[in-house]
Amino acid sequence: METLYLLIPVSVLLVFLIGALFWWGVSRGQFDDLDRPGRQILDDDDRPEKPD
Amino acid sequence: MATIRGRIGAMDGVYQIDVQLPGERARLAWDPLRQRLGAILEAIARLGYKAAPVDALAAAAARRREARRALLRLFIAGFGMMQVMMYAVPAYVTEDGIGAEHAALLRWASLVLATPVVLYSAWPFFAGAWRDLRNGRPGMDVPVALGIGTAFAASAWATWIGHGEVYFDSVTMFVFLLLASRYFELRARHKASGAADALARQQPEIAVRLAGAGAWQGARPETVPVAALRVGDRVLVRPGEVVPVDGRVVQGHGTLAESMLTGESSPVFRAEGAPVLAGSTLYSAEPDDQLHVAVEATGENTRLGEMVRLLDRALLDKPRLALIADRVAVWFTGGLLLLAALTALAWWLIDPSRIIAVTVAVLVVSCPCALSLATPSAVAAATGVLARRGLLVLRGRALETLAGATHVVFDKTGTLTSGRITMQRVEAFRDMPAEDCAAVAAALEAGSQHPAGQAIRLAARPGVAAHGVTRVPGSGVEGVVAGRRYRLGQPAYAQAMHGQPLPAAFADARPDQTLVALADEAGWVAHFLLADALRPGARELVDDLHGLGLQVLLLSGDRPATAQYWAAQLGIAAVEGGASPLRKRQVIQDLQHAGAVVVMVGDGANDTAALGVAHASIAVGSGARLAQQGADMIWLGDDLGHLDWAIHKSRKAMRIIRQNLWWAFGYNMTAIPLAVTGTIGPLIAGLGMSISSLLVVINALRLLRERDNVPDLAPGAALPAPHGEPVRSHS
Repeated sequence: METLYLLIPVSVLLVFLIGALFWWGVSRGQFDDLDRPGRQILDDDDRPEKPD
Repeated sequence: MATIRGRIGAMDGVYQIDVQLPGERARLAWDPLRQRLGAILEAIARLGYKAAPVDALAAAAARRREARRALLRLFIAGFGMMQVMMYAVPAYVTEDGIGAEHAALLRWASLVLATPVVLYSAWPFFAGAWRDLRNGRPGMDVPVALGIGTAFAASAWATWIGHGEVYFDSVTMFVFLLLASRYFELRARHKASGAADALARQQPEIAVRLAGAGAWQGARPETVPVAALRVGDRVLVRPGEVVPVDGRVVQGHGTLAESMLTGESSPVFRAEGAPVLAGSTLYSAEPDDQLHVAVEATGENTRLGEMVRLLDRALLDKPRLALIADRVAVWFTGGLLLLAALTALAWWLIDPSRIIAVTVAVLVVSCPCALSLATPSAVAAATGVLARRGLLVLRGRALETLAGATHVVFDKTGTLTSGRITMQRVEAFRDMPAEDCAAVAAALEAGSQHPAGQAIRLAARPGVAAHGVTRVPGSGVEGVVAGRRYRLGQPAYAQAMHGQPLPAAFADARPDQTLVALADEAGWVAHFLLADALRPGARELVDDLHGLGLQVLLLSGDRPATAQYWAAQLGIAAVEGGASPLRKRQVIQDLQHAGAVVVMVGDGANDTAALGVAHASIAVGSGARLAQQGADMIWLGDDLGHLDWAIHKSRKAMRIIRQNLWWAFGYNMTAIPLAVTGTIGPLIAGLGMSISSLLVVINALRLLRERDNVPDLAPGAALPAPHGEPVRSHS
């Protein structure tokens, strides 16, 4: 079970990494409105978007 | 959104425009030297979207920051909790125990992950506890902070020295669940503030200022941010635009929709000298109808700004029950801290090895979290859902009063009736054709603001003009039209011109009609019959209110015959006509002395005294004006049916608050003995406490459920634009 000494610290690092990713998402405002995307499907107009 | 990206992105000087539909935010990067922000905002507005610099709405921005921080804390607590519990599993499931080195590894990993949870996620509890202690009143945060701190410190110590119990899993789970209940409450609160946000968004950020004041022909229109306007500036408002300031019309005339300020969905006519309100929309048949408005108030000083401020403040005002619960919580906490100390002492004498576990359990289980969360969540949820239906609550206490109401008193004109007077009939006495009589009357009422005057003016073709018009308030108007002098108004006033007796036809007027007479020096010329109409749903509302067990009264300043007629139409048994404002106030006070809880619904035109004295007052119509005079609630919109729904919701809210308080109290009482005797450990105690808090908040969120299918009447909801299509609502 020696691999535990590797895996557990790696998992701790992973947690911090994921936490940082979440912080990045929150600061970008991606979680500001959790209700709108569900209704967005009904709002979008039907004209196809012009390719950018 | 491709439209915005395409058109705005193609503008000179715009580097990037990125519209994020969730949250309705757009990120705009532009070169201020090549393009003015005002022009960009204007271009966006021409596409049909309302754009405002985000920083202008400070309260909304603060709320967003608060929500983001809360979400981040919640996630870290939750994620940390899951991982720490994973590490704790081996110790739980094996019977022989795991090896010492592996146990140490797992503990250290748990410590590392629990640290950010305790130091960052749980920070609000520590800060709150510190604040409470500094103020000398122990609040809900003190036992929580103590419990978390003790458990964490003891576990860290045990990890360091290598043996002993660790409670990282309990601590992180407790923090997570508590934060979750607080997060739900925060969301409910923010939803309630949504009404204020929507109202604040109605205020335009840009305006067209007419520079070179004094020379109308030479005035240059320039687009400026509203914040740059000063009192005394002149702004130009074109048809279809929203008036950006409170002010006075100095040139031009038009019809304005003030519906989200006054609830009147029919446009009002404003000519030179008339006041206009920020946030109202200018409609006009002719595209050339522009308004030049002299600025009197901008931004926060407008009626609109005032209403936003009031709405923001409303949530701070708590129902009486909440205040009582808060005080109880303080005493409760004090007693529990004492109990925890005594328990620790007792266990130290009995079995010191369990002292940490038991003390933490007592601290955690005795926290009056549910007690403190019981009311705010319910008040926030109820206020929010009421606001979406168009009933803006300005005082939190109003909910409680509404729930306990026994009597509802209505004013007549403008409340139960639409206040939209229409011309029913024109009767000419002499050989002047009726249309010409109407034209004369319309000419005399050309500048009138009174609903009756406007009705007359709207009913006739403009063709002639009146000179030398003098107005006697309450009686009528006199002027010269096409060389003849006329008087238009009350029969007695018109009679004074020629002295002839009143025609028999005058007595035939139905009680619900107002009679306006036109006379010249030779005698009677014509009379006009004007009638008001019931608001849609008025009769049903009265029936529903009776169904809820409320008594309904009608107090009106109109003549008694008219009041009786309308009361009969509506099914109201108690009616009084010819009531002066003081008489209305007296009636309400008499009721209140007899023990009734009175809700008064009025439009403030002549019943401010009564509105002030009633237990709860609901302002209809010119709500903006009344907001400043202290109405408890403002009712926007035309559909009366929501009042009985609102009362029903308030009663439900009070019921839920009482349920929550009973549950919180009961739970604490049963769980504390279990903790003191050591029957339950910190894990179960933490689980029970947090789930109890969650339950209380979720119970309150039940109020958000709307079983009826009535569409939302949020401020800013679809107003018809001049071309007939609804403007996109910002819900």
